[in-house]
Amino acid sequence: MILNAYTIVMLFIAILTGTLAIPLGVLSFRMYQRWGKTLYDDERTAIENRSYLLLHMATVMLFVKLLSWPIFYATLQSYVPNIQGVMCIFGITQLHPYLSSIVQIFKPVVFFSICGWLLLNRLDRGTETAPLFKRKFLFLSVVSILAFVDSAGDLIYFTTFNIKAFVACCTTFFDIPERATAMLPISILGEGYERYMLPLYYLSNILLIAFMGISYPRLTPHALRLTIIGVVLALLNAVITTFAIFEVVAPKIMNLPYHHCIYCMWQYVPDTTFMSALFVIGTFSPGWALLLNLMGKHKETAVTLKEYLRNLYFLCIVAIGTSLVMVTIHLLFKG
Amino acid sequence: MSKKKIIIAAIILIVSIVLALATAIYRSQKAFRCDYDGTRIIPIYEVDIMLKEGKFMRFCSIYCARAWFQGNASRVDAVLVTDEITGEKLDADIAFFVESDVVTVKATQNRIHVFKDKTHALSHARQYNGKLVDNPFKLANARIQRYPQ
Repeated sequence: MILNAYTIVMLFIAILTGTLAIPLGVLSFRMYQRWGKTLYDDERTAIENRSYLLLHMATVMLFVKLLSWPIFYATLQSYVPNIQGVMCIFGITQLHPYLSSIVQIFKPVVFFSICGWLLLNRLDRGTETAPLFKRKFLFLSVVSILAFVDSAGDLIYFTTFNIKAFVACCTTFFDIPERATAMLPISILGEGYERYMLPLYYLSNILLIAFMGISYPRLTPHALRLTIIGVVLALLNAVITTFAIFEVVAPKIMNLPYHHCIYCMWQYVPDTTFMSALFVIGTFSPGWALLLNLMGKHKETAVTLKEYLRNLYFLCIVAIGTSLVMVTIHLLFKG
Repeated sequence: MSKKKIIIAAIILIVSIVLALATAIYRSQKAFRCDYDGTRIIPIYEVDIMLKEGKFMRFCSIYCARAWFQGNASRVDAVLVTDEITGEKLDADIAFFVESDVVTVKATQNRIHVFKDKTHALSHARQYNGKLVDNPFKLANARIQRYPQ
């Protein structure tokens, strides 16, 4: 285990959120079950009163949990000088290759779910009779389980590092000709795939932005098809962008034409972390819109939900557009 | 669309542009010029030559460094080249050199690439129609001449 300020913060968040997630999950599920029964007015009031504390606790805990994703990578980056032969975060992840893959895949899922729940909770709080109360607590119990598993994963991950282990450098994984990010584009676009990746990246992002812009005025809670298409386009764009970033964008931005490591890009050109964060938020926004459209639909929420959906599409346009502008600036002014 | 939303979006956009521009300009100003032809040095292709008199010279490519080296070998103490994969500096004696179809610096049309690992060198040669070539900086020979046993 490597103990520094980042590890302490990371472990503190993991212990705090992991401990709170257990009662939160149990109580929210109980709340969901009890709300389903026929209740007298005084019973209903008692449950509502108890729910306020639970919702406050959930909101604070989940906001803290949201921070754990960026702090996770900051912590790994802080370990780089401590391990011999390691160049970037990739080397650190190789100290625990399987667990780090699981944790890294799980973190975006937790982030997406937490933001989804926070939006649903906010939508419900804007109503007079809390029509989403039951759905909200069922969703909260699921989110609590996810948060608990994520915290447990962090705790195990950061306390069981074998710092004496021999690890491979990122070049042995990202720069071999048989790397995964090259094989798929080769099979689709042929050997000269690199030539098409950048135009494809721009086309895909611009198409997504254009779709969001065109859908914006037509977006209502009844336009479920539009939100589904938005999610499909965002996912497709995410796949194309991921391949393009590994294969073309990162090497160009770093000025290392044969180096395809995104962790090195974050390290050498630090503002690309912000660019990546904007891209993730832009990609998740249509997903949150679909989630709200599926879970937040009610007579009372109709007006507010429409506003929320539009705001999320607008967020997608701003976030994806800004990350695209940042990439363009780096490509134009290469160091 | 509300005015508030547009202002927030504009702030995000401006902050991002400033951040990206500042980083890009900082990185580009950090670049040095080649001591042979004045071309701006791309760090990944940099060649550094240490002189016996304690001076230090930077070149933009193997081409420029070799051109300068041919006339000044006796003044040279060490030659450091850059691994194209990681950007790591290493002694030219332990590096692998590949001549391929890929041009590193347009100004010099240099086609010789430097790698720390032989696997990377062979992989580059296979991908870009290249072949392994000898170290262009025969410093070991130069040292033998300078210090005959």
